[in-house]
Amino acid sequence: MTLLSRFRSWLRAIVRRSRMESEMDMELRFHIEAFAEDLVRSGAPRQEALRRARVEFGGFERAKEECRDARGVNHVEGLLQDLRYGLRTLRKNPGFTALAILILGLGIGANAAVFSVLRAVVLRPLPYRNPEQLTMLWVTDSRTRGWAVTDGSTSYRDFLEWRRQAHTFEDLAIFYKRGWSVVTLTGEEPEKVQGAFVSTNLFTLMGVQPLLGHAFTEEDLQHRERVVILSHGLWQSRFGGSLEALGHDIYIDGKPWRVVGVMPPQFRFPFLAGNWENRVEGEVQLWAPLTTNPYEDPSSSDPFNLTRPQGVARFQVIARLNPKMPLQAAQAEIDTIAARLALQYPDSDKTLGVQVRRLNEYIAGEMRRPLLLLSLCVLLLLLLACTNLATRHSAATDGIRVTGDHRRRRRRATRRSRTPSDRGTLPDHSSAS
Amino acid sequence: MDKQLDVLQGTLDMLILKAVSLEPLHGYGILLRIQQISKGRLEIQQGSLYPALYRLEHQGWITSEWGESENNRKAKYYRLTAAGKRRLQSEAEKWNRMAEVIAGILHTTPEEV
Repeated sequence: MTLLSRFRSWLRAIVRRSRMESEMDMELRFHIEAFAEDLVRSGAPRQEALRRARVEFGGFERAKEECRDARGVNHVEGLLQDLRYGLRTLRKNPGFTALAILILGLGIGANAAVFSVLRAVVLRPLPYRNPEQLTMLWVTDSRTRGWAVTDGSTSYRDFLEWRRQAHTFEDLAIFYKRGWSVVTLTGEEPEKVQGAFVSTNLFTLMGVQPLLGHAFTEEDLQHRERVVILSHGLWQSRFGGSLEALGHDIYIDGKPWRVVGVMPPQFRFPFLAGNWENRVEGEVQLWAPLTTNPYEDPSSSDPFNLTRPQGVARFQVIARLNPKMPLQAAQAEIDTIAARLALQYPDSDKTLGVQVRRLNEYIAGEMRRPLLLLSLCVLLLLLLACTNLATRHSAATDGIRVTGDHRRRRRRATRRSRTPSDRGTLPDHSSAS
Repeated sequence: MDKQLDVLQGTLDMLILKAVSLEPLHGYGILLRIQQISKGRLEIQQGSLYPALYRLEHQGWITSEWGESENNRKAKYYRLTAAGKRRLQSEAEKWNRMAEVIAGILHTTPEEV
């Protein structure tokens, strides 16, 4: 209730500012005149009475200002004054102004840059269906503990075992990334692009369908045809976004591949390179089924050793958890499967373990903490810049403080020195009833 | 003992509330009323009265309206609100308790310790 009345009086004070001013003036004037009349009645000459009344009242303007303070009007007033004062000093001090703009610009720029990375990497949800269900299965090797030599990849055999045995996952998919050079039919300059061989269920697992055409089908696999899905970017740059791209061949490493689909512009996957020999920077722009033969040798019908009992560890695994399945349950299950495989295939799997990581953590990975720390640092840097500026500013303006409170006190001090401080006494009314 | 006492810090609000609790008064009237009740033994700085009045009104303990003064002039009259009444009561109680304690301490003789 008091809060409401306080707010109301404050609002009234702001809105009816001039009226309040004149009323306040009238009220104080009434006081002085009533006082003077009483003095006249007790025998003082009129002029003298008025003078004494004024003196005894004390600082007229000061009282008014304290009244405004009591109403909270001066907060807004003070802010405006500070603003005007600030603009004035900036105009008078072009050097300081330039410095201030530079320092603040750098501080704000650094904050914006770091925050945009933070947003993209840590805060923004991934553009897949129910991204919180997506995990990566990361293979660890106890022989290389403490060494960063493992890229977490696994063999096709182990992937098939996981997929067969695990029940905490809706589905598992694998991919393998490599660099390609691409030439289109029109004989343009070859361009090095990043591509990925994926299991056919990958797009369904991620919940993203091609913008044009279709995802890989079992039919594509059976015919071992060289089919490829393009990224939106590559489709735009190589085919000018034409619908005719579908069914067209593009030449990859000298071989024709038929375009069967185009992914939507926001689709990006995988993010990290899992291949050593062909490290090409940039995003994946082409997807092909694992079973197609990327090599020149037509006799090699199984380039990835998919059918051999002892596959080479080169695949990364993405898996979708069953809805509401906790990560720990999946981890526990995959641990027992890994233990079983270690007994079954001691030669290759004896030292292997598997970590289930959420996809967003996998992508942000070790960057998460440093990024948060970095954004804190740049924020502090901006604060530091502000403090630095404030001190420079007071130095530049010869010790005059910026805050309204200080200035007001200074104003009052000068005013006080002008008003006579001798205090008289009121006419004696104690005897009057 | 004839010397006037300065109003103690924090007690001015209480005195104003008391003065306007008896009848609606304008600022100058409040000053006179306090003087009268205290038989001239308290001195209030006139300039400090109005900031206190504005503060009390801002807090919702008194309210004001314009009226006619004794000599037919326009004057602003202050009146106690319900909240102000409660406030005055609690302030008075607090003050009495405090005065009692202080008086008790000051009247302590060596034998009582």
